[in-house]
Amino acid sequence: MINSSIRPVCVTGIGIVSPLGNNLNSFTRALQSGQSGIQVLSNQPPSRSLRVGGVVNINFSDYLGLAQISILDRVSLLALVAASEAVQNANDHASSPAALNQAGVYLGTGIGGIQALENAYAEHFLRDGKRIKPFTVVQAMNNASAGHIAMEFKCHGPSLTYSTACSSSAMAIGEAYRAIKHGYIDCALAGGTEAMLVPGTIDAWDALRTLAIADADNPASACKPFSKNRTGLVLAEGAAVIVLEALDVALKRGATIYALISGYGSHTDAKHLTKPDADGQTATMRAALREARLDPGAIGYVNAHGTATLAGDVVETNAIKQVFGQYAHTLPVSSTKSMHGHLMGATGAIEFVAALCALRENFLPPTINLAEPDPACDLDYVANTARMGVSLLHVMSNSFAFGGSNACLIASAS
Amino acid sequence: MSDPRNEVLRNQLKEMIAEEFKIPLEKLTPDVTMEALGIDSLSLIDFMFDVEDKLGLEMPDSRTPLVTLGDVFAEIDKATVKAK
Repeated sequence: MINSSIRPVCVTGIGIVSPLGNNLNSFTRALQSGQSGIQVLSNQPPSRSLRVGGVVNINFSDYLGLAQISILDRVSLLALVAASEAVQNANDHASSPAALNQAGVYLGTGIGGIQALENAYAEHFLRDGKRIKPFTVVQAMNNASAGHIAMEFKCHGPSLTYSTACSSSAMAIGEAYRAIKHGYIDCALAGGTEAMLVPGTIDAWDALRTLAIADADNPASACKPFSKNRTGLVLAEGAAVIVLEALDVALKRGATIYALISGYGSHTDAKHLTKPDADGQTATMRAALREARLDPGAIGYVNAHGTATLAGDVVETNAIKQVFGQYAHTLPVSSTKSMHGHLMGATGAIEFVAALCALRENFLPPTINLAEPDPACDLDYVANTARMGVSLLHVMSNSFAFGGSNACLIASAS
Repeated sequence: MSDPRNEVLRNQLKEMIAEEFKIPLEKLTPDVTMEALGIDSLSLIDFMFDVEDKLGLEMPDSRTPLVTLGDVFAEIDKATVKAK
């Protein structure tokens, strides 16, 4: 049923599986304590330097049945665990459960079931080529995770998968928000998932010369956004899923309201496939502010894209200055990638969740590993230690992607 | 059907199905459908790969639908011993 009026949209459930813990509570505590989830990878491919990543330490049998574990790619298992927590969360303390039957599933992933694909290629090219698993196609396809979530929770609304590299899941959340706002659906499970810590994929990223060079004596500190000695990004895996509902529907069933989603900006650089563009990023943040009907001065915290690449951090800093003017110098901006790494297609969702945690518990997550900032990065990056006891009303989360596909989300206190 | 090799293979197959899918052996009759056993088509194909490996067989490249356990037996009957 299409409702022509514009409806407020809220977050009623959050689920997360990440290098910083496998539920919302441990993730929040890790953000507050400035913990690193980066570790040395066990499957070290032959390479020039030590490989590190943001690894999810999880025993899937604690959460899912054997039938699912044996036939799903890791990317879908992560998504299912995160979605389960989000749904459970959305129904906790509510007088009636969320109406998932007509809910949409909006999921982002950069590269889907790449582990299945790499296994198949290994069979094909290294062995006799006849033993490729029959599940390969259905494990590898990008929309498998959304399909599994829809089946698990019997969601019959639209099931859409967004693949816009690093902004995939921010786009997914933004599009779900608009589908509810404009009355196409009342409820959505939205977020992202990624499981790309497999050798061939890591090598492909390494070939781009964008991966951080880890310090052998402190590999957990490899990701150093905005720092003078940053060397690049750290790949990570994980999933974050949130339950979005029309505010009136959520209130009627007595749900806990985590936050309102108040704005979403989606803008394309249309200049270069990989080079970040300050004008494009500026336009993206302004688009989100416009939709939220907020002045820049209303934003109390920005979760930056902050990948720790040499070019990216400076460009984003400049874009923030363009949007926020003089206020940029006192506005707290942090990159939680310093702690959880870069989850690619899931990173927009996990970072939006980090911003929601900040909003709900009134703290500023830090940028860790920031001993000496790059002189070209001269904002308040909440260096090294979280700031507790702040008061936040509106928070922003940036996601800027290869392909020039940029997204920005704004959440507001309920 | 009376080929003793086939009987041995069928019994081995039944034992493997019973173990893999946790199904009591007595339920594994030729006319039972895979659906009734709770084994979907992809899981069955995946399982047949394991059967080939474990029993040293090579199945024909067939498109015959494997609806009942009897259909699976028939595929096994057509399998050849894999060259070492």
